[in-house]
Amino acid sequence: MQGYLAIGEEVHALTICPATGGGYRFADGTPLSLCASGSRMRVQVGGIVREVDIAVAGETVWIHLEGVTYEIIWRSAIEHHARSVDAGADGAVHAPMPGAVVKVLVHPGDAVRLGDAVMVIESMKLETTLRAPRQGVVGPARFAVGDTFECGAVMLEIGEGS
Amino acid sequence: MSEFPFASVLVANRGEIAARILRTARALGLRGLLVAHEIDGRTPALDLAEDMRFVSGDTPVAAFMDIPQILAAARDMGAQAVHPGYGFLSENAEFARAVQQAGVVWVGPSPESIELMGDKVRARAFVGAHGFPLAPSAVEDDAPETFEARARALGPPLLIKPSAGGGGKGMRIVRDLTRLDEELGHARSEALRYFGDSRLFVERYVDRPRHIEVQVMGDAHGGVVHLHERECSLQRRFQKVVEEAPAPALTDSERGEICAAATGIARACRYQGAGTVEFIRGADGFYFLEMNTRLQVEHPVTEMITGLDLVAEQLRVAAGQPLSFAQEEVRRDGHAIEVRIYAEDPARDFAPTAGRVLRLRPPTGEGVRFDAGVLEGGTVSAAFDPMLAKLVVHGADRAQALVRMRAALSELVLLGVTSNIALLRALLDDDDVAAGRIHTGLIAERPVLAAGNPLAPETRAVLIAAAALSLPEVRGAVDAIPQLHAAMGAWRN
Repeated sequence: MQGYLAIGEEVHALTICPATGGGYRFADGTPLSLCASGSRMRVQVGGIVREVDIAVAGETVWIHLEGVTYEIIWRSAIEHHARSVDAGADGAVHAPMPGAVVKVLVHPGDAVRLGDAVMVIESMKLETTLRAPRQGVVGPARFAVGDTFECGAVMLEIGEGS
Repeated sequence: MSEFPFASVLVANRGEIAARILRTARALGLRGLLVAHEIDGRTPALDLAEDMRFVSGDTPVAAFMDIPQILAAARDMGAQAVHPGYGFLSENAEFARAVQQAGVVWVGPSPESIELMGDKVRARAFVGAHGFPLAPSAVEDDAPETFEARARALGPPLLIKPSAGGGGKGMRIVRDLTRLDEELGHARSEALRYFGDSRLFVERYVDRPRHIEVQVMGDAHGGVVHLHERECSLQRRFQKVVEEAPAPALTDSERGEICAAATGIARACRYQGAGTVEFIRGADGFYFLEMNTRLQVEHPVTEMITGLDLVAEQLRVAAGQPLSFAQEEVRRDGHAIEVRIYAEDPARDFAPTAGRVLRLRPPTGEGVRFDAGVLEGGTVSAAFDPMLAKLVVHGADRAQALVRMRAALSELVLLGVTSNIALLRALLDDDDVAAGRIHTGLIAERPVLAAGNPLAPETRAVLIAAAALSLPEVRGAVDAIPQLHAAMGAWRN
């Protein structure tokens, strides 16, 4: 099961699988669970346990955690990529969340098509592929493997191709 | 035998204030009646009302401003008194007169007091003539042809205000006098649009001003008292966000002086009922700002420190009774703070938000009061003022009140509508706010308060897990993955 969760400006790729023996886990094996605890809910991720209030309306999840309210929006992979195409008209590949570079899949000067994978980043143990927002030519390298960056950073620019 | 010459009271209002007034009516054995607009759906006030009529209009706000329709509802339900709350028709002398002419008791000051204080220029002239402090100013009406020159002569910075104004609308600060002409033009057209009256006046603007106001009450027998002051300096766009009593920065002698001025002004206009005299305090003293001839949003902080029920006192005064207490019997216990919970997004320049209240769990605990205008499951529309609720706390002193407010804000759960709760928490954690070093421009000076904090990794992990497992779409899709595939491991891109 794959999709994306937007928390404010951050967008997180989500891969969840059934755990052997029941329950759920993230792609890296971290188990997660959610169960009722009185009028609230108890969330468990690996060794972290928290009590939260949750309300769901369509694709929006509202969570009250430790005194702060968050609005989280679910996007299927299809919706996510449709948005990326709209947002990428200027050719910049933006980091959807803070993290570190895992792989750089293209070189400066390479020709790419819309949607080609250009970079793999990791955030919170989840890997996300960044894709070309338009057809064109890869600009100068801005980040190398292992570099870290903030949410919204321009990771790469795709110039207008010939 | 009831202590009142009326057995029922109609609340010509909505939201939290309608519920708050109905609660007191019930406690006093009065039948609480209500007008409502269908867009609000189920509300706390509707649950408390013993009878109600819907009102309608070109807009939902227009319905609550429609005097003939509200009077018809009052007649229909047999209302013997009308309480206007705040906003809407609460400072409309024509409405007060129409209620009285219908033989119904008006819970508020006389139409003459409303008219005198409702016109800002007349009110200033009245207050000045009685020797109370006014900011250096130029009033257009005094001599329209020399207005601009007189304004210019005051020296910058200046504050332009509409004569008929209120609520911060149409106000403009001018620091560069070469722009005075242009700003007067903007203010004039705004004043005409909001108030149907383009007359202006200009005051010397007090930089980093503090807003201090005094609650007063008068009765039909000449009794006038003050119920101490409140400070409401934390504002956004000239609208109050946090209010407290007593005012943290005043010395006892300043407190005595400002309360005496307010009582004097109320006495001079033979004021009856609850009113608020507002002052601006700068580095070199305080000036009369305006008088509001109604119950104020922030009246609960005064109730918290005095132990009085201001709505009950309003009803007693309207019933012709003398005030039930003398000035020296008015208590001032501890410290109270109120925050206004607004349906707005501070990160988007305080744009109003709307939605359905999916979860509402009020805070509890010692000294906590929560006056809400919405219920869980109710809707918040952009049709009305964005205030959803008021959270009020009381403590032995300001430090304890702040601790209680922080705890209460963190306990308050409001899901489904974006609100300013995080901004309020950031505000109360601000060093200057905690120390009482506040002024009306503080929120605007600190955009960081509205920005929110970056997510800690653990928080992010918890949010993602909780959100993912709450979404039926995600759970359903994962549950549909055959065990065989699961055993082979997750696919990833």
